[in-house]
Amino acid sequence: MFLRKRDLRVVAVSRRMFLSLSALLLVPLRKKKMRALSQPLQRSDTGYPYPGPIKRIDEQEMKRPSTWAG
Amino acid sequence: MTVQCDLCPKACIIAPGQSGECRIRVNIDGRLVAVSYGHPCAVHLDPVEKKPIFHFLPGTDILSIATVGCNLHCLNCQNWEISQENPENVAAQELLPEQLIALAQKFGCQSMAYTYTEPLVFYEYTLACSMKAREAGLRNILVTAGYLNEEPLRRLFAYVDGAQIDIKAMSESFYQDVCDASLGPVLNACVLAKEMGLLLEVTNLVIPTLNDSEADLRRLTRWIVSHLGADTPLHFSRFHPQYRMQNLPPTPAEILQLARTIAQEEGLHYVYIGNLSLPDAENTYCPECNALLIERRGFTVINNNLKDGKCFCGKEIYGLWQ
Repeated sequence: MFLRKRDLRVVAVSRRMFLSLSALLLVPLRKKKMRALSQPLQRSDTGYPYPGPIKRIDEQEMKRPSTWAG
Repeated sequence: MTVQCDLCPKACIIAPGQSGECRIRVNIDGRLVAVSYGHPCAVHLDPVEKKPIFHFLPGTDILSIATVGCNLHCLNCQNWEISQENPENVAAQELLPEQLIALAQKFGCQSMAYTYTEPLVFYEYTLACSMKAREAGLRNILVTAGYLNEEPLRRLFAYVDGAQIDIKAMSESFYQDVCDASLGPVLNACVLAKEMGLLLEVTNLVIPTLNDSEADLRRLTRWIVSHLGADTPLHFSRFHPQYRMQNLPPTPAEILQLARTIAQEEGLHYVYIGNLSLPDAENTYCPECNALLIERRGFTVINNNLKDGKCFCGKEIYGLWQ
């Protein structure tokens, strides 16, 4: 069975209404679970390791100007 | 538990195990962790002119650092290998703030620069290093896109002496389409830097067809004159095809010269052209008597005729000279 153009519009509007209502209902629930943090913990305080590879400190390389911009 | 980062206007909502848009602020077991803290991926002794900062201790070397990450995603990013990469893929050195400041002293530096990527997203590290540097009698410079919330910016600016802020264009659509950010917070950061007494210089990368029209350039320079003052140094930088913007040509020299002329017409006293070798484009002249005060070539200061920050005619020149 094929839907007529008018029926399709009704479906689209109902879908939008459903999504808006679900968003209204879900946002407060989501906020309750969230925590806003202004000051993240620092690695030195918490012992979280750097996730990437560690390279050795090379003072000779540091003395050369960078090839990065800035 | 999901957390929300309130450092920058993006206000990322971060699920456990995920990072914010900057890639370095990670939700680990419901705690927001700055994972690049104490781990710079770039540490170099640069001439301060390279930042570019022209009105701050000219001719000196500055210890410049960056960790991986950025909260903007500019299509034309010049340092995308470190700014748009995950920390898992970028090697870093282990240098806590006190070790870094000790290195700066060992190299005989008078100042530190937080640069290359975005020092405002490795915020805790930038702040801790700035505080330690201040204690040790060193000065601090930020080279930044200025995209941060006001409260953390105020806290950091209290320990910073100068800033080079990039105003990428005076257009909201440019910020949204090219940088994935917005213009307002950047302009607020510039005004705040000036209000808090930082030495402020502005850079504008001129990109053909995107922000190089006369109207764009006039809007930018008028805003700087009216909100930051005519003494604010402005650097027009040449664009080179980079990263995800390979379809545009490098900025023609004539456009950069036109930009400089427009800025001078609008009343700015110190306008420079960067990323391109043009005679006079990097020199500082007295706005009062037009005497040549600082002659530069590339990143080298050839002559510095300033005496106690003043011209021969007695005009005080905007900057931090000693």
